[in-house]
Amino acid sequence: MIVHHQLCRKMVKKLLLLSITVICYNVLFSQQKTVDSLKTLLQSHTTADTEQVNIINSLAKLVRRSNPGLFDSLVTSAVSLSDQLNYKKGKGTALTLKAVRYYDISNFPAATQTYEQAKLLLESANDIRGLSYLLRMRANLVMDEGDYAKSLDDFLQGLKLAEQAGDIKQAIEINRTVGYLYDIIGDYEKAVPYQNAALRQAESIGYKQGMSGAYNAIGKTYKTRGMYPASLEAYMKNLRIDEEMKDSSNIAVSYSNIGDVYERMGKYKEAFDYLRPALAYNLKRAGKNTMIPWDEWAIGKALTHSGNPDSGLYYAKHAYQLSQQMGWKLYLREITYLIAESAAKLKQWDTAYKYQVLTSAYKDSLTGIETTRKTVMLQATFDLDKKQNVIDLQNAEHRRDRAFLIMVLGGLVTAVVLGIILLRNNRQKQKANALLQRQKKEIDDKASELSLQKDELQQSYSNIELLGEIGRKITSSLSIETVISTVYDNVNTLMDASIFGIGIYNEELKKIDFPATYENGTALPFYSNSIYDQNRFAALCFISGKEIVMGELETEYQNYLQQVPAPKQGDQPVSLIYLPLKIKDRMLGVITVQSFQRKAYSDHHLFMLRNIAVYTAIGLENAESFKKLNETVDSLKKTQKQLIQSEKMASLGELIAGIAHEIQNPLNFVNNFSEVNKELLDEMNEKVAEGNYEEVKAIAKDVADNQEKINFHGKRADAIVKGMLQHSRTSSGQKEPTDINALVDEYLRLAYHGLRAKDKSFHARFETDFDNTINNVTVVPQEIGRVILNLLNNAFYAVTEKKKLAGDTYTPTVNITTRKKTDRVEIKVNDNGNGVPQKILDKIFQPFFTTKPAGQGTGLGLSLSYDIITKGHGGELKIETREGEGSSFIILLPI
Amino acid sequence: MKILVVDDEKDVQVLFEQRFRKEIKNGEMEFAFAYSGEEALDYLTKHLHEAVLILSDINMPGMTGLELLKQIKQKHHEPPPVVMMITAYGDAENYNMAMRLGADDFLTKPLEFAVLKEKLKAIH
Repeated sequence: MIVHHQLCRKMVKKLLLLSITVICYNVLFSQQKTVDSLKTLLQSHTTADTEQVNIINSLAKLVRRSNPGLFDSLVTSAVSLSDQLNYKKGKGTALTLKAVRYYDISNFPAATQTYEQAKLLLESANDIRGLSYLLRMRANLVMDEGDYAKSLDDFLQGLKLAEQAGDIKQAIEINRTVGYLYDIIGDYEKAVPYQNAALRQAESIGYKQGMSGAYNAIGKTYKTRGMYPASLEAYMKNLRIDEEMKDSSNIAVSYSNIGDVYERMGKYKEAFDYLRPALAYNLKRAGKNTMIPWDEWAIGKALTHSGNPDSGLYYAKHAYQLSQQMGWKLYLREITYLIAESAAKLKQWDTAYKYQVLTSAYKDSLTGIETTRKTVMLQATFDLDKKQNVIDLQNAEHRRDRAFLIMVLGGLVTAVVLGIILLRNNRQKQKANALLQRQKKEIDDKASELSLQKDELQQSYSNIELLGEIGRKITSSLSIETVISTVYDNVNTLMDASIFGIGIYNEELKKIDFPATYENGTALPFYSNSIYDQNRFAALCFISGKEIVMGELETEYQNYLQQVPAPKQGDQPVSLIYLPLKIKDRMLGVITVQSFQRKAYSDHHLFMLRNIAVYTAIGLENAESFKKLNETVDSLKKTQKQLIQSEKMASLGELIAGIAHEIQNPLNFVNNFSEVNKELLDEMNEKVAEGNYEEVKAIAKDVADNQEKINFHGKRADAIVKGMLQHSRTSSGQKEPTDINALVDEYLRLAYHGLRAKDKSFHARFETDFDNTINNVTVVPQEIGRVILNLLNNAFYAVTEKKKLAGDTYTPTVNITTRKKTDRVEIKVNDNGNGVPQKILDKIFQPFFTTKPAGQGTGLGLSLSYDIITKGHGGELKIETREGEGSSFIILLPI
Repeated sequence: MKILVVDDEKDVQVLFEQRFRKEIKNGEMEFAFAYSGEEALDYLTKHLHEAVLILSDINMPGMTGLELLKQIKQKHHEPPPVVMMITAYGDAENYNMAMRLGADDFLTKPLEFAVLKEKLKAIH
């Protein structure tokens, strides 16, 4: 293994030098010959006919990557010549190439448009071969944009046409890429047949490029399934073919892939050795190149996982930025996940949370399931799935062992049959009786040996089955205590475990803790050994990472220790096994079984315990990750709470501004009517003195009326203040019968005045249309109020934004209607703003999604509203929108 | 002197009628009321040159007081009537905007009627 890696490193350095200098030249040289002959052909072919267009197109196809300047002028002339000749096939081919070139430089919109043009032309020219190529190239683009269903459509249609046209190379490419696509969407079962088909087809026609591509795809499938050694093998084969072809850009891709697999295997040094030269090469290539962010992501992963999360975060963020710039969506999910993971390791919880949410958003857009709220669960499943893959791999290895044993058995049976034939021949000849006797004996021996082996084999099968069962039990436990007791219960059925213990490494204290040790079925109290105590088997096994096995302690201990160690608890055993517990290269602790019998453990027992040690290590790591995960979840929950609180405070701030002004109106009446009353009372006294009682009566009535108004506006001010207090309350209030129309009206005013307070130039027409047949509805008024406020704020924001661009002819209008439906009440907030673009429609209820400029929105308003309506009240919150015309948000509340 | 008061708060009418009951009784002042900018414009076109003074709120649904002010000062008859703005938003920005659009005065809520009376008498 070491030799292999050193060799690899040397190879890396040498090959990279080659690939950038000599190889590049060679590839160009071999292609140059074809290019030259085409150029000569073009010069000699002077007639401006369809044949000339075909030659130009063939030449353009060849120089697309190597000479973009020439390519562009060739395509232009092919198009204009085709136009003159009304040669649809020629024009369609040229435009297809032009679109591919747009795709090369990541100009996706231009590429899409040009493909569409080309497709119409090729269809009317009935050019099956050309269409098949176009569909394949377009499918690649659509896949990069993340629309897998559409991409698959194009691929399969292209495949059909390629087969129809007998274009095997095209079919190979398509088969391979379809396999790749299935990998991306996680449907590996479907990926394999396509990839194998591609490899077989390529081999059948000796098409190296096709073989290289097929190996690449197979490597990817194994990688995604977590079968890293197999993946590495495929990628290495891939690399060897690339080297034979001297294709420098493919060599760089293979380097990237190999580096990534090493990273996943935890071999970070090897990973860097492959990834860094790959990145350096890709950076030197001209133009935008999606391999750059990919390499950066892979390097970032290796950095974060090898204990440099800050550097990892830097690479990941850069990769994210680049991908965004290019519109390259394929790896956004992985990249954001890496950012979240790195940030979490650096304890930057806000960043971690934000990107975790993004990750699941990308995941959603891939799978089409809205599960943002399950982010945390997703991460848990993701981690556990990764472990499950390790277990599956092991089970697969067991199955392979078994298949091998069956093969051996089969071989022996054949030998027996042969022997019998020999025997019969000998009998017929009636010669060499002695030989016969000897052979008969041999056969008897073999037969008995065979039956012995058969028994052993059968024993092995059942043990392997049993081990698999135990493995599943152990690895599905999520606490250290359950792991230990599960292991103990199962070990007892397999061997004499009079003493049994699992020691777990305590990194802080540099000790090995034995939380639960069993002696003759009784649990011993907790104890621990220092890992530096060289007179303890546990410490020795842990430090050296080697197995300790003995059948006679009194004599064999000298091989390990200077003196017989006195047990910390219980009696002195005679036979014992200590095995290290490790995952990859990380030591987790030790496992031990001990017996009071001499030579209690055979090789078979050792083999069984080794397997159990592997399961135990996985189980312990699972338990540890689960604990860490729970801690992360707790801190994420805390962060989320704080964020929700800050959203509440933000909307409270807006409210206070509105309320401060809103309260001036009732205050105006209270102050002035009370002053008027004072004046009226003075006047009344005068009239009393004058004896004009008619006038006194009239004034007294005015005073009483005014008093009523003072009271009314005083109560109005009171209601406003109470509303504010209710809104600021952090805990959710009680449900109570509420007049929905009055509630809507109140918050409409608050929203309007709040916005006025923030933006003096703001104004909009607002209209209400209330259904007076709505009776009281039982809701938490301040929560529904918060939702209405949020929807109105958004509506007013939308119309203000449109007003900025539209001229005086546009009247910003927001209206709110209430309606009673059979079993529900509908509140609808309409605006005539710009509407919500279709592509972000499924994101608007996600937390942190905002279209407002930085600092203007928390991105939590709609997501909180959604929660309040759906979870809090069992209702629905929907949106109807038309781009450029406006939006309606509809709240449906059950009566 | 005919005064048009524009405010979406209906109680404003009672308040003005009582506050100015002496002036109304002895015919010194006459009041008309409109509850929105649109209504005010309607009144002004129907009763050309009648109102010499307009007291308008700024924050009203639909047409705001500032828009009304703009319309009166820019599009209406010569000489334009005196327009005083009355608002709960007594900040500098609102004040400046009103002044730029040609408001003759600017008062804040809660309204001090003693001050208002002084101002009206000065105009008269």
